[in-house]
Order: sequence, then C-alpha cells, then structure tokens
Amino acid sequence: MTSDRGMILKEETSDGSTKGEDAEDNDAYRIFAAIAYAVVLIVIGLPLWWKTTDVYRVSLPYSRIAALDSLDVTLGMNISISTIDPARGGRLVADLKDIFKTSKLFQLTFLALPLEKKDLASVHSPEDLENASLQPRKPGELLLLEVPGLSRFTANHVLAGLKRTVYFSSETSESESAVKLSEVLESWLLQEKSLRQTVAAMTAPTETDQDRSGRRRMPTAAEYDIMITVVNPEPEKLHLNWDLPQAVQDYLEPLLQELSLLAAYAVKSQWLYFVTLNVQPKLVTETSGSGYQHYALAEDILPQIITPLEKKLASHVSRNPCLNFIVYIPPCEAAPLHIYRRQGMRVKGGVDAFLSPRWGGIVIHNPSSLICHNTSVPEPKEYSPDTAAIMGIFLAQLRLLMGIPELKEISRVGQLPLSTVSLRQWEFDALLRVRTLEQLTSAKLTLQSLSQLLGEISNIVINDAVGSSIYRAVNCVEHAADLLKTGQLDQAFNESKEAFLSAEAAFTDPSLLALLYFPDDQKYAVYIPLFLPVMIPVILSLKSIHAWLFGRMNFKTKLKED
Amino acid sequence: MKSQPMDNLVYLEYAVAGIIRYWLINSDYKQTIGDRVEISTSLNSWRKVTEGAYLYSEGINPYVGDNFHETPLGLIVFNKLISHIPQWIGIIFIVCDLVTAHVLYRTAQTFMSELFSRQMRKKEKYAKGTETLLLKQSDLVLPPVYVASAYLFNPYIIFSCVGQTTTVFANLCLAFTFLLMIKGQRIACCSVLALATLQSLYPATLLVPASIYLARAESSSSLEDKQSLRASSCILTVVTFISALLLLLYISSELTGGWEFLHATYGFILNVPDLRPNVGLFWYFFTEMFENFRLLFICVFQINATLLYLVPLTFRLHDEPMLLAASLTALMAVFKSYPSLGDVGFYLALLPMWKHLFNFMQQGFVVGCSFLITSAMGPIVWHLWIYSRSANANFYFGVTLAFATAQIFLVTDILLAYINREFSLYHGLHHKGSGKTTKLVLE
Repeated sequence: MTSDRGMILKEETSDGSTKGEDAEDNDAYRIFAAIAYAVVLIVIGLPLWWKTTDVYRVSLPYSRIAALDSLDVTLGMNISISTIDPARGGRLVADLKDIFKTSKLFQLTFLALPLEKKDLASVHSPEDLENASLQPRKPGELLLLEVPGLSRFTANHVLAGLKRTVYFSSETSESESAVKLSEVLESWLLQEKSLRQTVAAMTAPTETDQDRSGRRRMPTAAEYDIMITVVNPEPEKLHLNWDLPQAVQDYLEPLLQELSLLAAYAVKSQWLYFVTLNVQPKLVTETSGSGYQHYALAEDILPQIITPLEKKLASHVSRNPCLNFIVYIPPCEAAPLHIYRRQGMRVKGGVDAFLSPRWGGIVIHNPSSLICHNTSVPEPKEYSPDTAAIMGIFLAQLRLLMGIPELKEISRVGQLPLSTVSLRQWEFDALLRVRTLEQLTSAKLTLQSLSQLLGEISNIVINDAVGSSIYRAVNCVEHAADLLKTGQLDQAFNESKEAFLSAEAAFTDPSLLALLYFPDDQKYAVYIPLFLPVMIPVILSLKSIHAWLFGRMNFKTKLKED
Repeated sequence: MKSQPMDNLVYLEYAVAGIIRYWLINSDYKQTIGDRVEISTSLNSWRKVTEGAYLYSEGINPYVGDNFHETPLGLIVFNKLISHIPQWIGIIFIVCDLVTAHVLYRTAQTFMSELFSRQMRKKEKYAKGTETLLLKQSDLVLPPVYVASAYLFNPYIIFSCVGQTTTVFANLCLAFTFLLMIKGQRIACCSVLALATLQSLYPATLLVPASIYLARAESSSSLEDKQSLRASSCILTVVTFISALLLLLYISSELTGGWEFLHATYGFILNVPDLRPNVGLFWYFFTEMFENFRLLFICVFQINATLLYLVPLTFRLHDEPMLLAASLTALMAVFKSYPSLGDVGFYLALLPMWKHLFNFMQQGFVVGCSFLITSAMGPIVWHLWIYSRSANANFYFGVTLAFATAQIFLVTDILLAYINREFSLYHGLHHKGSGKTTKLVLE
C-alpha cells in the first residue's frame, strides 16, 4: 500500500512544483516514521533484550582452574638423622637420598644432626626416649635416631616411636640399617604408594581402584557423626547395666580429641530393643574337648545382618557421614554366638566383631554363661557388659575407618605399643597427608567439572556468593600446594579443607539451577508470538526505506551533475 | 458570541449533567461504582487518598508503606479538603467535571475556527470537485457542543466522577493543557502539563504536540526564518516544561521532607508492582511472567506506552498537532500501566472535533458494537470470576483485551480517515490512477 501510494503521488508531480515538494516532503516524513519504528525496535529493543535477559554470571578464573591440572603437588618433608658418628650419619643420608630420589610425590630433605651421647645417657626404657627433648614438634617432620643399646629394650633393629621418631640400633650394619629404614619410611611412614593410588583413583576412577585402606576409609568431610547402638533383642529377659556415656568419655574421647584437627565429631548413642539379627545361626557342638555348645555365624552371612539393622538405626538424620558402631547382645537362648571364618575356624583372639568399610562395625558381645545359666534369678537378668573389651574393639574399628592404616609386617621392625595415647603422631601425619591430597584432588576435580559445565550449559547462574566460593577454593588449592611443598603439613591441611568445602559449597549451591529449566527453545516460544508480529512490518518496510534512501541519493547526485 | 443559543444549550447541559452526578453521588450506588476496578485503580482511588491523608494528619509518612500513590501536592490539598470541608467534596468533584467540560468546549471552539482558517489558506492546493468535503461555516457550530455533551453525558466520565477518582483532576489538567496549547500560551501550558505529568507520568508525551503548536503560533506571527524560529521555540518549550516539572518536584519534596514519594508515585507507575486487575493490559502479563523476564517486559511495555508511537505519529501528523495530541491521549489511555475508564472517556469526548472525518471511517460499526459489548460484559465476567467462581482471570482479560482492541481500531480508523480525507482533498474524490477508481483501504 505504501509503495502504491508512493508511485501514485509521484505521478502527480507534473501538476506543479509545490505539489511535488509537498509530495516529497510527505514521502520523506513517511519514510522517517518507518525509520523511527525500526530504530526504536532494533536499535533500542535488541540491546535491551540482550542486556535484561542475560544469565547472571560472575566472571570466574577459568584459566586458573584449567591450570590446576598441571599443578605440581609434591610433599616436601624434612627428615633429620641423628647418629653418634657424624660420618655414619652422612653416609646414611647419602644412601637414603639415593633410595628416595625417584619418589614422584615426595621431596625429601635429609639432614644429618649431631647427637651427643649424653642426651641418651639417662634412657632406661623406650618411654624415656619418648620424653626426650629432641622430638620434632612440627607435623610432617621425622627424626631417625640412632640409639646405642636398643637391643636392651627390644629384639627389633628398628623401633617406631609414639611421636615422630624412629629409633634404630647402632649395632646393625650401615647398609642393613639403610635398607630397613627405607622400608619403614616407605611402607609405614610415607605410604607413597597408597597416596598415589588414592589420587589416581579419584582422578581416573574407571582405570584405578582405591587400595584396601582407601576403600575402608570414610570419605572426606568436615564433620563426622559417630552413632553407637546397643541392640538388645529381648530386654524383658536380659537387662543391661551399662553407662554408655561414661564409656565413651573414657575410651573414645581421647582418640577423638587427638583427631580433632582432622574433623569435628558428634558422638550419639542409642539403645534398640526387640530388634534381632534376622539370620539363623547354626547350633554347633565342639567335637574336641569340652563339647562346648554354641551358635555359629558363617562369614558369608555377615553382610546380610547389616541391611535390616541399618533400617532401624536412624543414621541419616544429619548430612555428615555417619560411623555406626553396634553392640549386639544375643539373648541367653541364642548365646554364645561366635563368628566363623570361611575356613571353618573361629576368629582368633575370641573377638566376635566385624567391620563394614565406610559404614561402621558390629561387635557381638555374649552375656556370660554364669548369668545366663543362673536360673534362680528372676527375669530380667542383670548383666554388665565388659566395657574395656567392647570399647577396645570400637577403637580399633574407628582407627581403621578414619584411615589410620594397618601396618605391614616388616621383619625386625616393631612399634612401641599404645598406652597413654591412642594415636601415634606419625600415623596422624600420614593421615593428614592422605586427607590433604584427597581434599586437594576433590576440590580440583569439582572446580574443573564446574568450569566444564559452565562452558556447556549456558543457563547456569553464578551469583556473587558462589563466585566468591570458587575464588576462595582456587586460591586455597594453590596456596595449599605451596604449603605442601615447603612441608607445612597442618596449614596445608587446613587450606585444603577450606578449598574442599568451598568447592563443594559452590558446586552444590541450589541457586545454580535457578534458570536451568529455561531451555532456549522455551525462551523463544515466549518471545516469538509477542515480538514477531511487530517485527514483520518493520522488516518489510526496511526494503522501501532502503529504496527511498538510495533513490534520494541518486536524485541528489543527479542534481549535482546537472 | 456568535453561538449564543449554542452557549445556552451548553449551560443547560451543564445543569442536567450536574444534577445527574449529584443524584448519583448522593444515592446508594456511589460506593458500588467507586469500588469497581474499571473505575478506580490503585493510582486514582479515593479510598487510598483518604488513608494517606489520615496517615499524614497523624504525622506518619504515607509514602513509607505500599499504599499511597498520590503526589505530595495532591496529598496536601486533599488533606485540607478532607479535614475542613468533607461534606463539600462531592460538589468539588462535580464542579471540576463541569469545568473540564467547559474547557473542552472552548478548546473545540478554538480548534474549529483554526481548522476553518487553515482550510481557507490551503484551498488553492486542493483538487477540483472536492467542495463537498470542505468545512462550511455552519459546520463549526455543532462540534463543540457535541464535545461538551460527549464529556458530560459519557457514562465512563459520570461513573468516574461519582466514584470520586482523582482522574477527574487529571482530566482537568489535561483539558487545560489542550486549551492553553491551542491558545499558544507557553508558560501556562507548560505549567499545567507539568502538573499533569507530576500526577501520572504519561502526559509528558503531550509535550511534542504542545511544542508544535507553540512553535507554529510563534512562527506564523513573524516573517523571519521559520526553520530556526521553530527550532528555538521548541527548545524553549522543552526547557520551560522541564523547569516547571523540576520546580513541582522540588516543592513536593519540600512538602514531604524527602524523596520517597518518587518511589511511591513514579516508581509505582514504572515498575508495576500492584497486579490488581483493571482495564489495562499489564496485570495479566505480569501475573504470569517469570521473574527472569520481568525487567525486559516492563521496559518493552513502557516503551510501547510512551516512545514507540510518539515519533512515527509525530512525523505523520506534524501538520495536525491537535489530532496528534488526541491520538497520543488515546494511546496513553490504552497502554498505560494503570488505566481507568475516566481516561478512556476523556479522549472519546475529543473525537467530535473531527466530525468531518466520520464519513471516512470504515469500522465505526464494529468499534461501536465492541465498546457496548465489552462494557457490558466486563462487569458480568468479573462477577462470574470473583463471586461465582465459575470463570477465571482469562475471561476478564479477554474482555479487557477486546476493549483495548476496539479502542485501537477506533484510533487507527480516525487516523486513516484523516489520511483518506487529505488524500481525497489533494487528489480528488475519485482518482483515476490506473483507469479505475481507487480508494485507500487499511490492510
């Protein structure tokens, strides 16, 4: 219609110049009106649309996150060697350096420290050694101390102390002591193979598995719940007299106190009544000897006990990982209950307990036969469980579950027994190392997967809080790697914990998904019915605007030429 | 002067309209009418004004809450009215309505004479055979009376007055703007326009036709270079308007001791937080909007209401600023964020000024029927939705949408009729362009 009118108006220009000017002016105004629509809609409208429907995203350090892959994580460690003979110390240092120079994860610095014989003069027992002042205090350090006359205390050539010292005897030859010490370092104190396998299992889970201790260890967390459950299937027949809070206070608290740097612990306890094991143990009569009648639980049935029991445990009331420790007291009719290994033998040591990796442990504590066979006492019979035995088993299970590794037997190498403390400090250092590496790797993987997700899905919102969490995580990862290199283990652990928690918080923040269900096609389904009908006349009129503009320019150039 | 009998007729109409309004205000229907969503919105309801005045008299700042959206000037004036002369408030509304009608009457009279004189000047350019289209002297008498009657007896206006909405005062300011615009009084026009803009933001678009009128008035009386004179006149008009508006805003801030009223008045109009149903288009969209898109759509809707049609219409109607002003008022009434029937009635009253265009209108019947049907169906569907609960919001919005569409059709029809008539005047009634009679049709 407009182009029609344009043509018609131009036909009439022959009637007079004033009409022609009017017509041209009218034409001009008409085109200006169309241009005005186009300007408002396209020049103002499009940037407005782009700006207001942008997904809010804080700028993130993508290059730094990508560079975390090639982050050099090595553990620097200072190992001091104190020998009476400085030459021997020097040779030992050279030997150990040679052995450990191929270590990929560790950057060991061996120092030879001089030792005065008089420091060891007043030593009468290994415990005195422990109290000597030359123990290293800083987490991550080690001291290899030559003790003349170690054979007084033990037959072993190397003795691992309770703090951060390993004692080796002066009587052994140098090469043998170097070999023994390197073995102790490798498999007990440094645990390099286990560390590397942990990191590899986290980075490429389809190729590498965790090793045995890694499979057993609880996952990394800032807080753990420990739930102790006493299961008494027939409370009307057997009444347990047990002060569980006091038992926890006496036995578990010291270990938890020593582990407090790693994580916070919330210990809870509960008593379950009328809950049975749901398996049928076999009645077995011992053929040899006493004809002792008892019930047998085969090792294969043990996994079937856990699942029905767990349903009743209420162990998921919080989001922290929960370690469940269960004491099962069989009723007198089903006592005594023993666990039989696959080979058909009973468990050595008379301890009927088993551990489920990453979950907890179950102890079967049989009531004493005196109480059970005492028919003169009316029901319910009173029984006080053996606190020390049960708690001891729990302690051992707790150590395994928290990641304190079982130590391989090395010939002629022993360790000082745990008496006053529940945890050797070099064990704690090894645990710190493993947890630090786990947290660093987990933070790195989380950040990288988040960065990859952000690149692929354009609908994820990153608000300010999440952005600052990510920055904090990246900074902490880099800082932790630096601290590890210089050997500051406890600070590195704290930084890596902060990195892990920040990365998890950023990744699992619900605000990321605020716009996820706005796929692009839905957005366009919202826009097109509203804006397309408006834009069609504008787009179509652009053609006539273009024609008019060029027509005018040609006309003007023609006038100029004429 | 010439139309003494017409003047008498108009005064009689004033009396009758006043009586009708007085009767309705003092009847039982007043509260029902005043409560209807089509008549009173959050911006112009008298109930909110009384609440705000009460808060103000108690010493509490009425703009702190979400309830009061009147300007501070209005607050002070209404507070005085309510506290000193509450029994005269109805009379004041009626008197304002009658004054508005009279101002429109005078505007129409001036406009008709201006039309006639312009037609005389352009007569030579018109094609032959178009004498039937031209205005005659006798044609100038009736339209102003029609304008006044259209304002006085329009049910939308009557209900708006009876419901005691502040649209009455807004219409008064708008009517004065039109009158002063056509009389060419710059300072008075800009002041009244600033007052109207203070109350509801949208009359600012009337600055464009006002500056065209004032520029034309100045340049016609002098023989100098018209282009630069017009430019300087426009700039002067804009400056006067802005300074008047700033002065009013400053006075308002002094009266309330702060600038919170800006958020309650302009912020409310622009951000549309209140989604109570009304005859507008905003509420339905924004009840269904995802939060993510809210800013985009608010910007789009507000641009649509103010900017989008202003420039192209100015380009097309730069010769007819009065028609431009009326079209802008009509578009404002359809697309503003909280319209009410009082706004609709105002521009309907302006239409008889172009009685000579009614022959060229092609959709008059459809538009008229739509107006009637949607005006009747609106309250019915509202009752079904709110009270009987057998309808839902879609029904009411459908009726409102049909009403808005009818208004748009009316505006485009008038504009097309104008273009049609101009075309016929310049090119003859039956143009034989390509051998057959052609007529312009909107497609």
